[in-house]
Amino acid sequence: MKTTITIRGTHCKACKALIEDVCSDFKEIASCTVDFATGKTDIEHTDELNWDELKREIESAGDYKVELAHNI
Amino acid sequence: MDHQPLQKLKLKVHGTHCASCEVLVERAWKKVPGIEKVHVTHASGKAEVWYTHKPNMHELERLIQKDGYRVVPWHERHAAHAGAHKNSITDYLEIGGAFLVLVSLYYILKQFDLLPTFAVTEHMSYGVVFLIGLVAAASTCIAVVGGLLLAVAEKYSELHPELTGFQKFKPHIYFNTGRVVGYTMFGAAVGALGSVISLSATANGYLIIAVSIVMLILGFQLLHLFPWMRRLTPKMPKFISHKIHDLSGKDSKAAPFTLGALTFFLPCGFTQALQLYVLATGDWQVGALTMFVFSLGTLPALVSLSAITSFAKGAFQRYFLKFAGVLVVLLAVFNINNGLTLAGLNVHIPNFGSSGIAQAETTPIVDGKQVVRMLVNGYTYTPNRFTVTEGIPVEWQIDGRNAVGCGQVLVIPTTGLTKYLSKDAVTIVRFTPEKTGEIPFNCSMGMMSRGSGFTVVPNTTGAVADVDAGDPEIIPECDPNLTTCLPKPEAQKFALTVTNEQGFYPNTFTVKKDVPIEVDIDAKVPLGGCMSVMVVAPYDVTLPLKLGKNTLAFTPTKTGTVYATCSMGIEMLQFNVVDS
Repeated sequence: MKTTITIRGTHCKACKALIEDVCSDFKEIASCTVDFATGKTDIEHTDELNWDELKREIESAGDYKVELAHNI
Repeated sequence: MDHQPLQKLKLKVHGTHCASCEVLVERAWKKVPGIEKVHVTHASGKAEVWYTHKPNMHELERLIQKDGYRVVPWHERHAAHAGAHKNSITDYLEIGGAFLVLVSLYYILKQFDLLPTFAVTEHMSYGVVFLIGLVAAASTCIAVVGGLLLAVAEKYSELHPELTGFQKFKPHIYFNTGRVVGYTMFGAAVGALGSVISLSATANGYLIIAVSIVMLILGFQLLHLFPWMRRLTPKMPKFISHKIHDLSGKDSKAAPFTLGALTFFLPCGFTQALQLYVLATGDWQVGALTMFVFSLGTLPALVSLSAITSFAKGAFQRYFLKFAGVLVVLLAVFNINNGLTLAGLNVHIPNFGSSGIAQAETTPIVDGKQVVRMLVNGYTYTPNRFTVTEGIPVEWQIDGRNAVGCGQVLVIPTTGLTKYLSKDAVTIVRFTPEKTGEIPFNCSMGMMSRGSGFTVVPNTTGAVADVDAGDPEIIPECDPNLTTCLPKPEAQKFALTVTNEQGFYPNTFTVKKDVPIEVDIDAKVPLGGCMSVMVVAPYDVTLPLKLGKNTLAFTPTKTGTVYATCSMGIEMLQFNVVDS
């Protein structure tokens, strides 16, 4: 399934590459696309994805703030 | 695990500009077997790698290449930048080749008289303005505007080596859109206000020098000459770099747009001449249209430049950058010389490409005076350098019949002499060089042959001055033996002021024939560029306009309309002469 989350603090292409790289470590994530200008991140994933862990990983990679949608 | 001690490798990563880059590179490299720890500092691009098995440089580069980074060993960091390389012998040969090609091209064009010599005149059609734009962008103005554009482009590609051609081209679109919009708006403003946004000749000179020095450094950087110069950066004022840097995150359109609009204020002869033209029209619609059409005219050359810098690849890009670099350096040297002349200093920068030819020997002293002859053709003085002896009067015969634009007005900044060159006859200027040294001269906008001047040498031959030839400018105003000495009619007195709000006001006068006119001109604002000299061509009057009081005086001898113009022929005042 596909979920869109918002990541605050992305300001350049390196952030995009970095977050997409973090995502690629999760075997539950099939694809991840970050729009660094808006912070909107589209994630294609399975139901098993641990959102809290993803949030922790991304936030520890840089000065980012992950805003998960309410329904997650 | 073996227990080999950790070894450290220092690398330079090009393209790291933020903290995310650090993490990105660190993450990528930590996955390499044998690497234990990686630490990257984005500001310096320094990467420290602790390893048990020495990693392969190419492997490291490959891992981060897709994200737009490049890697070199730390000790080679200065020789290279953004994927550049140390100059090899081939590179120097190519630079030399580019230099030769450009200089030969210049001389060939010069020889066949193909160099554009456009003069700004009154009542230009928009077609002519467009042509001026085309020419301007392909000649003097590309020196400043194009230089800036190249600087921006280089900076931008350095920050984003991963971008595709079109993405690199995008800021150029904003830059040029900004230029067109900015020119139109400022043109309207200038037309409406009738105020001139320009600087005095000297200030202009220094501004040109400052811009040229930046260009010179930029040119050397493009050519990778003098690697130490890289450390001399900032290449651009911080505020510009910051704005360009902002582009990285937000894909901002405002920065290049603003930059483009502000090029309106860059010192470029054509732009200034047109600004003054617009000023003289005093009409915001004409102003907006004229500057709009002019900026459209400059588009082809600038967009081509943008396109080439954005899309060029491989060998062609390499050659293009070499040519661009050499061109920027050459133009910078020209500009510096130009600026120095305007600032009243003549320094001899090796003058390749100078259109002037020096007169070979010291001018012979005949009958106690030194006669020098000079031809003014378009924007060129031939010869443009003379050597004269101190203390001996100089009779300078100037054939200005083919002079155009500001070439019609000769200025010697050091002595304050300003002379309008007659369209019909040889103009004679007499002066006595009082001390040895340099006496530079040029037109009032510094657009003529660079480095023009007199070199005054000590009087070693013991020649003496012909006393009579010394001050022939003083013609007895009235010879009581002749009938010309009639009681002088009372002069017709007028007064006008020059302000930012109204320009020259009032600017139209009705005067009587054969009665002297005296116009008190109170300049409340400094007048620069061609406006620094007022010319009444039919009566051979030139008046340098300084801040404060100036008096224009002449006697009209024919009925009809007489214009006082700036040195490039733009009308400033109108006199309707009627029979008395």
